Amino acid sequence: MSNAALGADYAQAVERLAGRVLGALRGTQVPLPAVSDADRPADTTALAAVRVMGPDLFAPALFCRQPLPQPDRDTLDTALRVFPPRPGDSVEARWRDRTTAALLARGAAGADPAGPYAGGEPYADEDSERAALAEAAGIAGIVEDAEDTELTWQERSQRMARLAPLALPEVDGPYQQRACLHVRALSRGATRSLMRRDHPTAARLVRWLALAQSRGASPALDVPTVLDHLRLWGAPSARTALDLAIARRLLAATEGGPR
Amino acid sequence: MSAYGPAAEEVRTTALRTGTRALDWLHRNHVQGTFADGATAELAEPDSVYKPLAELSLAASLVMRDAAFPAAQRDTAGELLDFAWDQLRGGDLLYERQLRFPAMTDPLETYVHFHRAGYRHERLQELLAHLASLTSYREYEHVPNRRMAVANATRVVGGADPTDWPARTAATWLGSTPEPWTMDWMTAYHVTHTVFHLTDWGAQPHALPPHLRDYLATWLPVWTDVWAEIEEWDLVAELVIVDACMPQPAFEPDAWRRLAAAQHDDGLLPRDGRTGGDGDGRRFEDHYHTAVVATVAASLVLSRLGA
Repeated sequence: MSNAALGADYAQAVERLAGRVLGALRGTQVPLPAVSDADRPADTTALAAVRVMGPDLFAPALFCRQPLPQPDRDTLDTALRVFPPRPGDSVEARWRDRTTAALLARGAAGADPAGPYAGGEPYADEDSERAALAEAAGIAGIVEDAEDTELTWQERSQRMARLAPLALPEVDGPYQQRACLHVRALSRGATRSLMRRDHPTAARLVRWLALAQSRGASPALDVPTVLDHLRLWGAPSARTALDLAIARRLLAATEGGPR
Repeated sequence: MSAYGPAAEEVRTTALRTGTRALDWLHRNHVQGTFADGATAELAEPDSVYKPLAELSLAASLVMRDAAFPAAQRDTAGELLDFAWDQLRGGDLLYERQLRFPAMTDPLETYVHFHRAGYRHERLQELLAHLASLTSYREYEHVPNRRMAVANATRVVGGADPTDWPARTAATWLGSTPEPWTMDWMTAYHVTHTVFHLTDWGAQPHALPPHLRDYLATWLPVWTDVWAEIEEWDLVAELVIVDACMPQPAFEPDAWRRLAAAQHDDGLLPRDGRTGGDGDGRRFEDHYHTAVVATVAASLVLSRLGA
């Protein structure tokens, strides 16, 4: 199969998966349906899509405060084993995988379906969190990304757009905090993307702005209006539609002030 | 070094070089903007020579007002003003046009540049003072930012200025601080001109109300970036002027770097990335406006940085 065909196959797998997550998010079914291709466990293309979507697979569970269905847990475990984090991975890939692993570890921790981060201090016990991470995903020696206070608004927006799967309720860390801290930069990035008709990037940045707003920050844009505009003009892919749906749910959620 | 730091020093150097070359290009080519013999106040095609002469005069008058360019460039600006005033027959053409068309505001909007530089036409001035007293003259149905152009010209020329500036400002697109992502090319020019006239081309930065300062400080970098990416050099230069009209300009070097890179060896600054090549795309009428706004941008930046 050519590289182009592989790429198209992979893109279709991502779209298919995003569509299922979107369906679960919009649905009212409890317990939540599994979204991964549990019947095709050896399909590396599908597993690659699962790895790339990563934290997004948890969106229905986090919003509905339900446990992630076991088939999805198994598939995510497999995806992280088949595509383990590597030293050469980008900052964005490292953080996406790290968040996936943390969410898996959270579910494994026990009775509370929202896991150890639900309510209270999210990183009350960082050592045990790191141990769980290492065990769950075989991540060892994660290198923190360099201090990014010097990024221009364009650079910050570009990075945060790639990290949009981390914009989820009940998930906290440095990028969620940076989203709240840098709402003006992200508002500029969203505006730039809208003017360039780059609607997928705009949707990712608006997802971060929705998260920031839900945690008490004040974006320089009217986020619901932008969401409406993107819904009507965006002609979105399933993945962009998922970003928009998550943004809308984040706005609707009450998370009780900045964390 | 100024209080603005090394980035502003780069802006000062680039603005001086780019602006000087733009002004020199205008000077070398200005005779292309000459009236045919026997031009009368009717001006069948006012955009062909009359409007470029007015805009040439604007740039030259601001170079004289700001006095931030070196003496050689101020002399060049003086020569351009003399040329344009001569083309307007020492202001007679403006006077005749205003007599012929009392409802037109362009004689005032042109005369103001000469007035700013010390030129006078007493009979025209008397007409303008009378017109400024008429409610009608102030309320002709221009687009809102053009009304501000008339109001600003009136106050510079010294007529009574009963303008309700906050209301005038509120009537513009910018005055409503709309969704910044809805900005388009034409609206961008409306925004730039609102700021130009409200601040009298940067002479009164604090005339910008605080909520507009905040709005522009947030979104100007985005608009500049978007139009620089698609090489709309004329608009980029106008947005750079807007920054220089602010109480606290950002003096971002990137826009100046891109303008400098787009400028040709002979000083021509193409209006956009699609024109300005060899052949038909190098006509004075196609690119004079970009030279005008680049000169104004440089003059204001040098002035604000303290040349």
